[in-house]
Amino acid sequence: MMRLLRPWLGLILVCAGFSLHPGFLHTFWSADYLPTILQQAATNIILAVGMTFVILTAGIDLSVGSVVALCGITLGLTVKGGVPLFIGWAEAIPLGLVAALLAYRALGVQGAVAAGVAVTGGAGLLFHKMAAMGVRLEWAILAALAVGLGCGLLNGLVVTLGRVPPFITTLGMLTAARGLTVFATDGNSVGGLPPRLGYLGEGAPLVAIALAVVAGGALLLNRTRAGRYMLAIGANEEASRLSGVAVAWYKVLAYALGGLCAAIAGVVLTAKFQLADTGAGTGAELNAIAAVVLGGTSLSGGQGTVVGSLIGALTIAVLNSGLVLVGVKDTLQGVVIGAVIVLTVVIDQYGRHRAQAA
Amino acid sequence: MKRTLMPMVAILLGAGLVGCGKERTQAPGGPARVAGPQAPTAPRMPEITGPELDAVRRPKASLKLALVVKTRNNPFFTPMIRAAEDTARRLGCSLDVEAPPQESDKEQQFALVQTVTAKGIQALLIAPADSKGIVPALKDAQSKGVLIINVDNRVDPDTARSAGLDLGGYVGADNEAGGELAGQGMLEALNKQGKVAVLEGLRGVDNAEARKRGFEKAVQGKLEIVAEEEASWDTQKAYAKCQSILAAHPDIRGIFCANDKMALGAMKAIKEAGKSGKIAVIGYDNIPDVKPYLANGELYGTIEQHPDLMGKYGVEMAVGVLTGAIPRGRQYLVPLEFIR
Repeated sequence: MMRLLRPWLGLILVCAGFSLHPGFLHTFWSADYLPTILQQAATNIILAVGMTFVILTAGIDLSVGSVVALCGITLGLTVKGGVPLFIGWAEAIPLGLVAALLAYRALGVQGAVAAGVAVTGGAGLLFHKMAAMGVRLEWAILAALAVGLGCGLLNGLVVTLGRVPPFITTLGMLTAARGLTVFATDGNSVGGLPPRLGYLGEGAPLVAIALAVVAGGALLLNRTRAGRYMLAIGANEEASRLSGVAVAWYKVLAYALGGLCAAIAGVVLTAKFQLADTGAGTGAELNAIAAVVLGGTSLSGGQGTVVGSLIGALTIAVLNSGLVLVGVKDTLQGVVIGAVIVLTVVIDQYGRHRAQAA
Repeated sequence: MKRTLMPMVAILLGAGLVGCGKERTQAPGGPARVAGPQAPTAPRMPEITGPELDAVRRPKASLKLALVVKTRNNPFFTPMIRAAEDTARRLGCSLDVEAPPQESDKEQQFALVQTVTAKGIQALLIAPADSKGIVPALKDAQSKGVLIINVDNRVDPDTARSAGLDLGGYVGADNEAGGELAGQGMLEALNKQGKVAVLEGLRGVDNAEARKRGFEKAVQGKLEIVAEEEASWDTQKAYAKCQSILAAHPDIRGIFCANDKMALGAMKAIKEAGKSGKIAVIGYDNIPDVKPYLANGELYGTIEQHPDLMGKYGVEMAVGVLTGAIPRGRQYLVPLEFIR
């Protein structure tokens, strides 16, 4: 119970503390400013929802910031034309995996690998050719989502089938995805995107997308078998395996959700700036992890909520803007925010030890 | 695994949020491609002179100003911030300085503009990290009655025009002229012949492209540019890129670095290759760290573009436009100097 309430308590304490200052009190609590906080937190909220699933399974995803940039660049290049072949392949990974699963029933492991590689290669080439002259915005957004999903699936497969620790796997993806992003555009950003894309990156639509991601994530976690299994895997992977849960399958699903959320964040960020930027999302994974931790999700897995991560992301946004509003010197702001995060982890650990002792 | 993971994550979090953990991952190598974006057709604002700006008087009522720069993590902004603070104090105005922890953190800068706007300021001085992306936040501030003064890196004029953003003025440097000045310095250093290389700033960023363009223009037909590599304003990257340039072109005689942080990296690589004194290095910005290298000759020269004047005149322009002493939409270009 305490665990469910704690993130709210943190947010309330932060808001109440700042409200003692008139500068914050008069500006923050206005119908004009409160929606701004939601807008500022939106990308982090989206990333934090995906990250929640990964951390629930006792994993970690350090690659989301780079995947944000790769998906943004995919969107930009697909709509303008000139998508490199490897991005076509990344788009085709989800299809390839579906093909591999179908082939596995009939042809076994070797057949599955062959089918997966063939479909990914073929479809990737097709996507590459189709987008050579640029396509409609809707298709380009779909392509960006597919790339994010593909990166997430790849992370999940390497973690489960390759038995590489998540920290290392996603650290590799962090570097690789950023590298591919820079390589695809020679380090230049892609501008001149359709103006109607901007609609997704501001005001009500942006907030609606973020809240929809939260609602979807919360439903998946609380109301489906997949959600319960992911919690069980995080709590005790061996016990879940022994009781017949397809552990690898649900872990891949968690990383896929992480990648998909990174893609959604990449799309809205590109929309917000009307620009696909190779440097987008740098360090975003750390903010997302911080939001998840503040939201009461345990870094050792098995415990946590999606709504908690939403509250965590809001807490960070309130901290960020509150410190400016009350006039804390900008050079000190990072120190305060860093201290709040670390303190929360310390309390989290302390609480767990006490619970175990009891 | 779990046990070792948690402290690692905690350390990463701590480091990242206080702003030293975020590094841009390295771009893959590969040959430099010379084709840059087209020269922007900067619509020239009418110019205003220093004495005209210095004539701005302390307003009757104190004004609230804010300065949002790219980052404090670059010594270039330190004198700008200090001079802006001093000038605001002299004119009896308050100045709120905000900066994202990293130059690449454009979303944070966007949020900072929204937040200082909400605080109820009368003028915002902005050095945009993203010339185009920042425009919606500035437009929003403008519609709340905030005067926008652009300093240092230019807001993209086309994006501003189509968004209906009307800049109150501009204070900054002509980076192309600075690049040309560096090129002339290189011609002098090499006696107008030999092979040279360029270490560029972030590709696609206005001032990086302008400096390169200016340098190319000055040395065209006289010096041979054998390599142009992006080192993203970064000392470490410049060190690595310079090592590979030296390996590929042992007969190189000069290197132009588009900022001094990259020059520091290049000089280290040159020294390790035992070529100190044989290769003329020219930097840009004249940051305090390069003083000893200028003294011992490892750095041939650098461009001073007076960031302190940008801070000072930026504040004077904001106060002047607000009080009606200065017309809107003027620009002031700081003097450039070749420092040896």
